[in-house]
Amino acid sequence: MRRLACVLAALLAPGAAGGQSTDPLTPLRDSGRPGWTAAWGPLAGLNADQRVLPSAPELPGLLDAPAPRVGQFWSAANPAALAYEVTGSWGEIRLRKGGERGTHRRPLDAADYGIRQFSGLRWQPLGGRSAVVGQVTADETISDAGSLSPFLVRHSPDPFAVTDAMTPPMRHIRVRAEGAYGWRAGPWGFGAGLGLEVSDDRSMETRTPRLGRTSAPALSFGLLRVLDAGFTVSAHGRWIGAHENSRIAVPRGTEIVVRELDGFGEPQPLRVAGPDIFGRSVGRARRTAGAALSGRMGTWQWVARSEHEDIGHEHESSRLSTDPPNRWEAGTWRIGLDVLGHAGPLRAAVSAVYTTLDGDAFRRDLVGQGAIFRVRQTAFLGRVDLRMPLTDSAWIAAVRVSVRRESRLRHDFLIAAASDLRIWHPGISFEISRNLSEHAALSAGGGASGYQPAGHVPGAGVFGDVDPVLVAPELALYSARARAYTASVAIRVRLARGPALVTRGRFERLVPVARQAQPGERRSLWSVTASAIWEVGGVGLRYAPMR
Amino acid sequence: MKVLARRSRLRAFAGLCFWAAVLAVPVQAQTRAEITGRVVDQETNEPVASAIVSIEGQELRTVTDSAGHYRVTGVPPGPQVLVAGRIGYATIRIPLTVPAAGVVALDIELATSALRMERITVTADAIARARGELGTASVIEQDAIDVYTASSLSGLLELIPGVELRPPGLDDVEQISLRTAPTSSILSLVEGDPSAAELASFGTLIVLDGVPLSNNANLQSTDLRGRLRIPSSAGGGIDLRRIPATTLERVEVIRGVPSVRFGDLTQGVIVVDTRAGVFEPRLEGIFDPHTGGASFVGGWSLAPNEALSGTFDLTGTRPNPGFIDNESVRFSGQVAHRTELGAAAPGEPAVPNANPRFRFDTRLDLFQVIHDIPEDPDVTPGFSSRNRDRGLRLSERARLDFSPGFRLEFTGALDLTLQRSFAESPNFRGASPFTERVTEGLSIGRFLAGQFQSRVDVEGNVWQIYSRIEADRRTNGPGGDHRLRAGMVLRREWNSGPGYQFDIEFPPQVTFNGVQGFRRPHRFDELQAMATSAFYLDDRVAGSFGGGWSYDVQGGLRLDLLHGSGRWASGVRDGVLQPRLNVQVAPMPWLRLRAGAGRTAKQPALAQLSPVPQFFDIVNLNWFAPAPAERLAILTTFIRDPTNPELGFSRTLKTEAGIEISGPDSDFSLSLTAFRDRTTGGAGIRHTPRAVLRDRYALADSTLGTGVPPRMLEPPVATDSIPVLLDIPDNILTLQSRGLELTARLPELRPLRTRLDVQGALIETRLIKEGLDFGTRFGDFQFDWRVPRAPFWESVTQTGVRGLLTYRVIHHQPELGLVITGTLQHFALEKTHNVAGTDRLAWAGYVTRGGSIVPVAEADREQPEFADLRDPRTNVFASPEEVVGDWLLSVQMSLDLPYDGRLSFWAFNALDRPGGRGDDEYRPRFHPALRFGLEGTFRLGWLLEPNRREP
Repeated sequence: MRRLACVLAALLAPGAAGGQSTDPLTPLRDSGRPGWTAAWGPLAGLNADQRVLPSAPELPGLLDAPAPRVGQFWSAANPAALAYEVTGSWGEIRLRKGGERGTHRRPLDAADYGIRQFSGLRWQPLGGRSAVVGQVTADETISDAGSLSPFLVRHSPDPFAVTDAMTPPMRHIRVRAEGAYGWRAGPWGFGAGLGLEVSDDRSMETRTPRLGRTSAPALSFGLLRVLDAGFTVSAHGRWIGAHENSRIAVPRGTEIVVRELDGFGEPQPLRVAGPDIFGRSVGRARRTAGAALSGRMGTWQWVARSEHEDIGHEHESSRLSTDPPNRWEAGTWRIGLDVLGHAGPLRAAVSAVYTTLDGDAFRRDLVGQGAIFRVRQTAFLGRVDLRMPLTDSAWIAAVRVSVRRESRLRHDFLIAAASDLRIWHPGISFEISRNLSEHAALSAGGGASGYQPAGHVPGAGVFGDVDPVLVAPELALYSARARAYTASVAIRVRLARGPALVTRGRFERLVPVARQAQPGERRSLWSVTASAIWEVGGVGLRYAPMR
Repeated sequence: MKVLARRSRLRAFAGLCFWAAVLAVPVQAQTRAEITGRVVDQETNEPVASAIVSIEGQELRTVTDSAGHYRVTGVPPGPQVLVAGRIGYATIRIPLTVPAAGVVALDIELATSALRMERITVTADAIARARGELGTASVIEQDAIDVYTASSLSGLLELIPGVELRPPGLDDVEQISLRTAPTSSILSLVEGDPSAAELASFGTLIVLDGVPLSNNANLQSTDLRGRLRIPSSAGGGIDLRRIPATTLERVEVIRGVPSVRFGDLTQGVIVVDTRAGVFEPRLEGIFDPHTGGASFVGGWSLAPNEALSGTFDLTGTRPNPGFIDNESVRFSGQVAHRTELGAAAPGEPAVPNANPRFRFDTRLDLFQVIHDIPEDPDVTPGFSSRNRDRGLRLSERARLDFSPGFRLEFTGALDLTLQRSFAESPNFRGASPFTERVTEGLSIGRFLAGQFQSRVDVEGNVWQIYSRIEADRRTNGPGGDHRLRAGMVLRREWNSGPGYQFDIEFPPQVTFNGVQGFRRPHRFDELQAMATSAFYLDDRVAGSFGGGWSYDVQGGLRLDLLHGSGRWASGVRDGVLQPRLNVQVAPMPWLRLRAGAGRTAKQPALAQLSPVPQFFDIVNLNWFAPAPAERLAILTTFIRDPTNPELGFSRTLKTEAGIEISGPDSDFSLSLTAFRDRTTGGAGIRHTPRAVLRDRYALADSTLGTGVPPRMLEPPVATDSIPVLLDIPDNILTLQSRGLELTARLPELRPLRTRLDVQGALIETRLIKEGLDFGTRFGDFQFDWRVPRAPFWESVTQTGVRGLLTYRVIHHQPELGLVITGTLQHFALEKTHNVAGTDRLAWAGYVTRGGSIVPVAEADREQPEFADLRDPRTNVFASPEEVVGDWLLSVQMSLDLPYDGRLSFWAFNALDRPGGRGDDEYRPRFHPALRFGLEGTFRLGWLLEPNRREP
């Protein structure tokens, strides 16, 4: 009761956060599906360490997403478990249109975003001994003038970031495709997954065009053994290698100013006079090894998992350059426990994950003199998803509660400054649906989250001239309390022969609290999603007992 | 008529003797088998009625009955490909080995999509043959065309060995050079010769729906020394951007020795068939950050024996949106009408689309390709160009089967392409005078020093009339089954455009007058037309020896004639007799040994047959006072005609030998071919010194500050001789390539549903020029009357070697309708080398002021009297250069969607590899940057026939 009271107190506190987006550009680009349907992807961890703005919690998605699943594939992302855990077929196509705007933003973020997105997801057993899953997302995001960085990944724990003074509107086109294939042979399971994300980013209507592109291939593989005692043990590995290139074309008679951040300190301005091309390239690699153990206790199934990840970034002037790069080296540990079960009509999914990250940054001209920047981060994320049909009626209700506790220590050795933030992000969301007829259903839901930081950030004196523009505003944002709210309605029509068609509208607002903010500072996000869903022998679009 | 080379006749005779010897070998009478079975729906197992079942490359077709049964009789023994298809289903190709006699039972499952078939081919078929051909070929079937994302024909050609991967799009002119490696280049002041790639591309024949496309009369060039670039394909092969990939049904690339049915080529033939007849309507769209496009194809039955089809494509590419506004847009459309009458064999029922006795195909083709490079004031001020090709072609093909063994085929086409080009760029020139004179004689020149804007308009109307009549006779005669074909081809090409036009004050050259000569504005419709005719006889015989050996021999003789005055009735300017022979022997059904040899020929281009006159503006007096009003220049204009009446065909001797191994059901196949192609007499420019006499004058009063120019004193104080360079087109180029080609298709790993295809090519190419290089000092004759002579050098031999390996990993999930292809292309070897002397003794002689060529023996070049000639050669880099080896990966994924849709995702250079860094030994390599996109296909048959099949 005491713990519950703590959670409730946190929820009621002014400021909390629940959902987490890993998209480097904007949460708007997330496909709108529940996170567990994408967590298996080899690219799921591509930008997992990004510092993100608080956002409203994820909704249960009663009408357009299957009920949460737990398993070595779904939770630990081991493709070897695919053939064991995919017993029915699911296919969906989504078209989304949305927007995000507001003054509550970091300096490297744009103010407004608009998106058009297509996404598809499908999983299917093949012949009883194998199964396959795949997803593709293609979107076009238009961001308005405002961002001070030509790069997509701007808020990595890595302190190196390129900024410039131009703020042109940008068009980002991205395609992400991921797939995994698993098969079983007796007690053994094998699986492999592949993923590729590519993007093309270019400015619009500017004399100093920004041109960028990203390529991120990923590979995952796994091995699984079913033990006699009812337990299943597995091991998996994953590799992601991403490259992002950015160029700024400086025409004749023009000069631009570029600053390359390497921590909290003021970077020397770099003036580039045209005609010239200013280019930078970032290579990011992640190597992951993990193991998991799962079992059953009655109607409850559980998965315990652990992963270690090595992360390396290299910042170069170009990929053909022979100069030594700026480097970022980090390691993470992740342990988690996921439980899924039901008690009577109640279906419950519980997840708890604890993550640590230790990283050091090395500058190319200070090689041999040790790290210039150090990061120590820990994060705990706990989530509970409860859903049940209301007795003998057409109503179904679902509640999701999440809490995230984060500790973020960032130490700049060059200017001897550090930030140390400890953040609570509790959130709760609910959704209730009603079957209107055999073929039609309606749902409504909402949620709220808080963001409550504690600790300290460097004082204004340490930043130098760059303070008012780049670093200090971002730190001020992280150290300010905030709240986020969301509301959503959806309607589903199942065609007589064919798919179910679902339309969902969602609105979200983020409001800072008790900060030296401008009056009316806020951030809003909206989206309308039209989906077509095909399901054969699956767990069910709505509530269904766990299999 | 030019006398034919004796060596050529001897070789022809030897070839015929060999062919006769082969036919004389005791053989067994050709026997036939029968294939029978049932065609069913793969999902429902229901019979599929009215499906057409045929044997590829044979005139054997039948239609399934209401129970799905079919029966094909008279099938020759050996490896064959059974093809079955029906509207609403994907066409399936089933390789099988047919016995000498008996019945082969084969049930066929048709799937609604090629992606759902158990067997899908997404690369060029390595061991297939072009229809009616025996030479080495790659055949790109409908499956591969559907799955492989390509904007135009050149994209599909990446599926054959030795071709570099490029990102889809219409970025720039696209040409194909079969069996040619990139060679070194030279920085010569006197340009004008085609590169090896251009020469090979010019000699690659493209046949679209039975009618050759021609680039022979394309004059959209800015001249030999033009400083402007027009994005045109003049001088090479046709711009392949005009042929959209999505409207194609089949592509055959004959790299080996083609049959004599094909002429006007040196490198090979690409036979392209667009869709015609009755087929399912389909809408296709492609989108990536650079390219967007849509295409529609569909064919409907108007009456039981009549069909109308249409294919339309609209695609645009902006290579660098947001940065530079370059843009290429293509529209392509075709309307085809087909009429079929009667049944092929008496007593057989007339069935639509199967065994028609008479078939008439009428096609109207339209296309437009716009390539626009507008001026960007910030990035490229003053630079802009555009090229617009618009074409219309009306063609008729009539196939008349008068009896089961005799056919007459007529092909006729009228082709018009309107070509409009413009280019401008800022140029800078010194204070040299110029004249606008367009006749010979003396004139007062003007000075235009400093920066000026070069501009040129080139407008051509290219016409082609093409006709061919061919008789096709099938008999069972001595040696086995014969297919005898005899034909005649008439072709006429001309250009009626307004021509090459520019304002003389803004010429497309920097130094537009002088000893090197340039063009004045001129009209193309004054140029003489080109007329050619050809006659050929081809026989193909297939049979078997005892012991299970079988053979296939194709041989023929072709005579190409180039007429003298643009009319077929006029005399013959040049002629080439071209014997060709291909032999294939199969000791076992899974093993085939092949060899081929033959001569091919290519006519010169219109620009070479009718070169425009060269204008030489020689400066007699040049008084460049500080005040413009006091300057005086006197120039004499000389006009010389570089026409070469001896210019004729270039000739190629093609030879190859290979081995093919194919496993049961063609699950495994391997083809290895060694080849050597040697083209002699390729048309290049022979720079020939000719002397002109120049008068030099004195001035009456050259006092500065008078405000008027001085007066020229007559008569001239001196007269000297000045050599000028006349650019005479001549058969002086030799292009030779040799190499190895490998294609291998490995068996599928069934548990992973994955297989590996490998293609490789190792090619060495040499471009040898017979002629002289006059270097940079030739221009001194005009500027300094005291210069007595200038050195010349032997021409440079440009060489290149390339080893290219392409690995394709293909993962196929028929249940999902999913195909993923990862293509890794490895540039294993790439070397270039200019073979030429560059040291101070490399010069070969000198040219005098009188234009005389005086060779100097190597041993004498160190004599003191030649000290003024011992300069290092500055326009040639003769060190061998090797590019660092590297690889790139491209990915393609295709997935069936509900309602007969298909979604493809592709990523060219998916890892965005920049290339190889290079070092002291190797030059760096630069790959094209990452590109990616989506392609969606929607088949519309279910919309038009809702009761035919559940979507």
